[in-house]
Amino acid sequence: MSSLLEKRLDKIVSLMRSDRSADAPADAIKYAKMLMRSRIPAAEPGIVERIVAVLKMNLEPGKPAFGERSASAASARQMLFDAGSYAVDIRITKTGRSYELRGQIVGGEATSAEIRLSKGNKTLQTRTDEFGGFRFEKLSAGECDIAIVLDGKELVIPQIVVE
Amino acid sequence: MTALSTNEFESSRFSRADADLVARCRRGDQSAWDEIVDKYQRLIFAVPMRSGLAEEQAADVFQEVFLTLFNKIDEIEQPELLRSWIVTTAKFKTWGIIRGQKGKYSPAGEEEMENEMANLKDAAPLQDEMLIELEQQHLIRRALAELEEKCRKILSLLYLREPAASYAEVGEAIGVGETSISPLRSRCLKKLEKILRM
Repeated sequence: MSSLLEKRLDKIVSLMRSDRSADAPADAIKYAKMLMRSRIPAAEPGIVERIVAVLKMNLEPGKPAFGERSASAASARQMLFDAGSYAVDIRITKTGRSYELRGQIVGGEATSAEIRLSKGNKTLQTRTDEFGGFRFEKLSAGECDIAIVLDGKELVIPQIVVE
Repeated sequence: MTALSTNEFESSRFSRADADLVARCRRGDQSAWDEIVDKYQRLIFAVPMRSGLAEEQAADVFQEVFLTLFNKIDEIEQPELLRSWIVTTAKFKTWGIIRGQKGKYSPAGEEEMENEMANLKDAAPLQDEMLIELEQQHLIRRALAELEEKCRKILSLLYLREPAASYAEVGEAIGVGETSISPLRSRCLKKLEKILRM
């Protein structure tokens, strides 16, 4: 065996022996994989930037909601997402046999922004009110994606679990 | 973005495969994206972990790297250098946390970050030598995955397990006598080296 090859084999063995790498946590891998779900093949005309929102807080029903005193238990599930310079507050409440999803965009002017909620093959649309708020009613349980179009940006919130 | 050099174990075949995966991701191919995540998850996670960050912080870096890759997938100019792009991005994200001002640290650009890292002692965990070693280990793991099962088992038991298996244990695991392990080991290592050269 040539000494060059021998050296190379020694180096390979040495690198394998010192390899202490481990798999990333399963939930982080799941998060990374679901990012592609929010990729919409054809961008809407006028959209110059797409921002994928990142979940910053998730409060289950019964726990105090963000900004509320701990004595008041929330009946809605509340999530707070970061999306560039905006934050999006989403609350999901069970109303009889269905669910209501309310949201509010904070951090900038968000009046009359277009909101699309995709669930399975269906897409529901609405627009924000003067406070940046929006609402979808009579939703069934399951996963949905939300896209918010405002100011040349598309804020995408993938894989929201309605339950 | 500065590409790190790992020429010793560089394989044009791996680079071409990455360029193909990026092209498919640009078309919204979920399976290509999943492949990139599976392929690079360990390498990306290793950068902040080897730099001394806690597991939770390393998971943050991991998510931010993939979020950045996802948002910039259409802009990567040299998709065949995806691995270097990923490692460099993980380096910068890790550095942002080491600086202890996550969210507030806003350097003018990568050059400013590079200069600062070069001039500070506590940037030592992120030195290029360590990152190159991580990349080389990644390439070896990829090559190992392409080996036939018997060879993969022999080399993994001998060199990736802690503590390393004895020849007797390896022999038992693959169903051959202990005396056969040494020549088998040598043959498998050469096969691994050949894959790294292809």
